[in-house]
Amino acid sequence: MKTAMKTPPIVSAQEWEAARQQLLVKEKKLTRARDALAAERRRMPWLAVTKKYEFDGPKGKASLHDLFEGRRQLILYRAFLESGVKGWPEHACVGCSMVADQVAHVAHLNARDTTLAFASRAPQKDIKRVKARMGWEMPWYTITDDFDKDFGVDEWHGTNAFIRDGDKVFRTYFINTRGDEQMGNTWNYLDITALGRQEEWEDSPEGYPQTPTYEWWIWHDEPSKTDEDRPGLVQLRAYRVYAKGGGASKRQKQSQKGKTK
Amino acid sequence: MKLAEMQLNREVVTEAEWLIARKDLLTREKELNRQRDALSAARRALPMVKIGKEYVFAGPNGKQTLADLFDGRSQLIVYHFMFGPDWEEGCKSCSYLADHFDGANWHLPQRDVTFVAISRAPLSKLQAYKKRMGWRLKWLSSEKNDFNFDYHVSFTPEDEKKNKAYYNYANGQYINDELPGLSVFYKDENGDVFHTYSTYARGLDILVGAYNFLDLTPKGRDENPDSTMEWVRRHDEY
Repeated sequence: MKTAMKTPPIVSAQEWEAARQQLLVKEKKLTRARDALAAERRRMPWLAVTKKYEFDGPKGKASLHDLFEGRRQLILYRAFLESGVKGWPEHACVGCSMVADQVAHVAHLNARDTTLAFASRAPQKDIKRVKARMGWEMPWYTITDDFDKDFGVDEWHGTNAFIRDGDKVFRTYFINTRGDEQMGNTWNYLDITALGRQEEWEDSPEGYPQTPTYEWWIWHDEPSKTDEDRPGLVQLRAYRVYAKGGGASKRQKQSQKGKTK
Repeated sequence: MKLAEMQLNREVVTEAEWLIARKDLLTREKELNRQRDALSAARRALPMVKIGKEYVFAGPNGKQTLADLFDGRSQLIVYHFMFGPDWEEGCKSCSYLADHFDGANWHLPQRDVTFVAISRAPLSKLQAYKKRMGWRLKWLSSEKNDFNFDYHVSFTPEDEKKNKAYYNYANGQYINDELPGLSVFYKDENGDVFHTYSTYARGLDILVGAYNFLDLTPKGRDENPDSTMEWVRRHDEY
């Protein structure tokens, strides 16, 4: 810890309580705003999916309809796991891996009539190996056609939500980039700590430790590294390329090319 | 709710129309993100309280003080898991939250954070329940100290008799002998420990990834407003 860190005042329990009460008013306001936004999502119009898509799954070919596993709702996260992505063939992209780490036991989403699945370009045998290595248990499919392009996930990670009415499937929602962040509670935990995420963009008191966004990311089965080829730094470079092109210049795959070991 | 009833509220539109609606919502989502960032900045500016009292917990490594729990890092997050001394199993809603802990905890140490759970139940009960649920988290017992009472997550028979409890920074009616919360501590270079933050009730909502996923779906959380977590079970009991 740098000695120059300008910490907030150290106060008595009563004074802290007063400051905390003030912050709580703002936190509650944000919680209500978040609820209102989720209420709007539930009123978004639906888009009928008429094209047929074919995925490869652990049990062979599967349609988009099959991905629901009989439940009413489907959330599909596009993760970058394929030849050419940093970490291949041992790992998925470091950011997508972090998202996968933070998926809790799927029983809870299933209890709300919702299936959560991941999809990537890698063949099933590679997906199976990476899942086993990392201890991930969500269903994970192989994209075989234009699905990624049609649903805005050919360039960068993203989450699509669908609903089913009998055989009919509707796209209800799509979110990507920082919007995917809310699915990962690591960021939410860090946001309540004294130091925050310790990333450069944050508005923190003077002297707080801060490193570039993404740079500190790791694969959970590998120790943190400091070399130029560390996964977080590669992710940061890839994001810069993506953001510079207005979000659509180069594929994440291409941006992450380079030494993969 | 039947899908037929739901559809009454929903239009099915063309891709171009859907995109207009989606982009309109996106503007507000981005606004909320900025507000959230500003709120996190305000948390970092919150003053701290120096802790004078020594708490000793029973854990997998024997007796440990609050300062020991930092495990060489400067920040400590404590989840106050509802598991009273005479309870047979941990609270089901806390178990739902706890299903999210291990994933985040691969990454929190990278940002100088140690994460633990603390409950009043004896260590043997905590360990048996942890095994049943398949968790990795470090879980300590505060059975022999006032930690849970000082951080307003456990309540006395006296509170119950008076039907009064101080929870989530307000005086209210007694609800239960244990309630959920999360506290954050900071340790400086001299080894002094400070309390920086505590959150309770819906303040914990942002830590539940499954809720964040559900908030993206057409049906949402689909909860009874008077009994929000009614549908939640332990993951081996659905």
